[in-house]
Amino acid sequence: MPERELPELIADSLKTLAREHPPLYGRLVQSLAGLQVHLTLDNSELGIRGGEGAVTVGPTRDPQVHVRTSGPAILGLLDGRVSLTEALECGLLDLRGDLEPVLAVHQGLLLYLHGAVRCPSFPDLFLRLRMVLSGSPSPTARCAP
Amino acid sequence: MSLLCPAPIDRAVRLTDGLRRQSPRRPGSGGHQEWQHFCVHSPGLDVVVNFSLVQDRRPSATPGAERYRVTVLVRTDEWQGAVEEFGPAQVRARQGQVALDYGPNQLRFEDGAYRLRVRLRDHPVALDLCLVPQLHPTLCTGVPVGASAPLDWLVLPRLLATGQVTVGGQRFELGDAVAYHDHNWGHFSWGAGFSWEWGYGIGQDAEDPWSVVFVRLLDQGGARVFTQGLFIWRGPQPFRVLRDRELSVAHDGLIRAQRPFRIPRVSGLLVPSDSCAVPARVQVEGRGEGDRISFSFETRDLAQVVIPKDEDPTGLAVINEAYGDLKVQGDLRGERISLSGPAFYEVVHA
Repeated sequence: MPERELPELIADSLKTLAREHPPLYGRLVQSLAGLQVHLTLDNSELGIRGGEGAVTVGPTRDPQVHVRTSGPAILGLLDGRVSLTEALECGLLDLRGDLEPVLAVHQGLLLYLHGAVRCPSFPDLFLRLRMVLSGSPSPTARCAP
Repeated sequence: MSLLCPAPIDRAVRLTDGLRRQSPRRPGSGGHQEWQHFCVHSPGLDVVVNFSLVQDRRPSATPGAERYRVTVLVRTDEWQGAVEEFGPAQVRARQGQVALDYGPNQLRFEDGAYRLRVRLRDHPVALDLCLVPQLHPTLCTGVPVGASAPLDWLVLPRLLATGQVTVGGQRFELGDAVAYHDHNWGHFSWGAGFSWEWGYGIGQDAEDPWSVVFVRLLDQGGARVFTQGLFIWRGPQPFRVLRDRELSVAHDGLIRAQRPFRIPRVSGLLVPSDSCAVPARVQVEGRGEGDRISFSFETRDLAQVVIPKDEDPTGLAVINEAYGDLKVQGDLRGERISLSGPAFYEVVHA
C-alpha cells in the first residue's frame, strides 16, 4: 500500500528534479510559491507545499487546492491511455479550489512533467511509482482508464 | 552533394555506413546527433526501428556524455512501441562500424546484411531480422538545415528483410519483406527552428525495380524551403534526381487523430491531444528535362515520437510517423515508372 512509500517517492522526485534540472525546479518553486495542495490517492493522503525556495512534501493546513485520484488513474495517465482532460471529465481526477491556485497547480504539474521527461533518473522513479501503485484498489470513477 | 560509392554493395555499406560518433563541433552548431533508422513492411505488420546516439546537453550532463536510445514503433491492428534509453555501461558503439549494442538490442552489418535484434524491456515486442541491401547506399553531405550546421545523410531505400517479429504474443514470419534504411548525423539542436518531411516508395517485389525517396527541409513554419529532392533508383542503380525548382509540393487536409499513439507514453500529458500538423494527403509533382513524375501519399494512421528540445526546458519536438499508401507514377528518360505500397511519411517540426 502506498501510504508511506508515495510521500517518500514524491519527495525523492522533487529532489531529483532540483538536482538534475535546476532551471525547471526553479520555475516549479515559483509556480507553487505560497500554495498548499492536499492530494488523496485512493486511501492515502499527502500534502505538497510551495515555500521559500523549495517544494516539499508534508502536512498541509488550509490547502488551497484539493486533488483526489486513484492509482489506476495515475497509471492510465502515465501510459497515455487517458488524457488529463478526459481524466477530469470522467472523474478519474478531481481538482478543487479557486481558479487561480488551480491554474498554478496545473502549471506546476506541467513543469514537473517536463522535468520528468528530461531528467536521467526519472525512468527509475516511474518504475518505483508503478510498483507502489500496483497495490492500489480499483477506482470508483465513471469510466475506467 | 550526393555521392555514390562505386564498390560492391557489401563493401560500400561497410565503407560508408559506420558510426561517426562525436566530431569537433562546427561553429554555431548544436550537439552531435546521429541515428540509424529502419522501416520494414510486411502484410499486417509495419515496423520502425531507430538506434540513436546524441550528445547529452541536459543541465546535469558531464561534458562529452552521450545518450543512447532505441525507438521502436510496430503497427499491426494497433500500435505498440517505446523509446528505451540505456546508460554507457550497457552500450557498445564502435566508431566506423555498424555495430551497436544497447542492452539486449543489437544492430550489426555482417556478411552483406544488417542484423537487427530488438527486445523491448517493458513492452511485448521482440524482433530478429536480417536485412539485405538491394542497392548501393547514397551519401548526401552538407544538407542545409537553416541556422544549424548542415546534416549528412546516407540513404539505402531498398532492402529485403527476413526473420521474425513478435508483438503481444502474435508472431510474424517475414520472408523478403521490403525495407528502407537511412543514417543521419550532424550537429544541431531540437528547437533550432527547422522542419522536415520525407517519405519513400519501394517496389513490392523483384519484378518491380523502382525505389523512390522524397525529402524536404524547411524553416519551422514551413514557409521557406531550404532544399528538396526526389531520388529515384531503378534496380541497384540511381536513375534520376529531381531537385528544388523541378518539384512542386502540395498538402491537402490535416489528420485529426484523437489521441494518436505517442512515445514515450508519458509525453501524451504534455502534447495537446489534437496536436498533429500532419497532412492528410501529400502530392509531389516533378517536371524537368522532359521527365514527369507524380508522388502521392495518403495518411491512414499516425504515431508520434516526442523529443524534449535541447535549449527550451518546456519545448517538445514531435516526430510524426504518418503511415499510409504511397503511389508513384511517371515517365523518366523514356521509361514508365509505376509503383504503389505502404510507407511511412515523416513530418517533423523541430
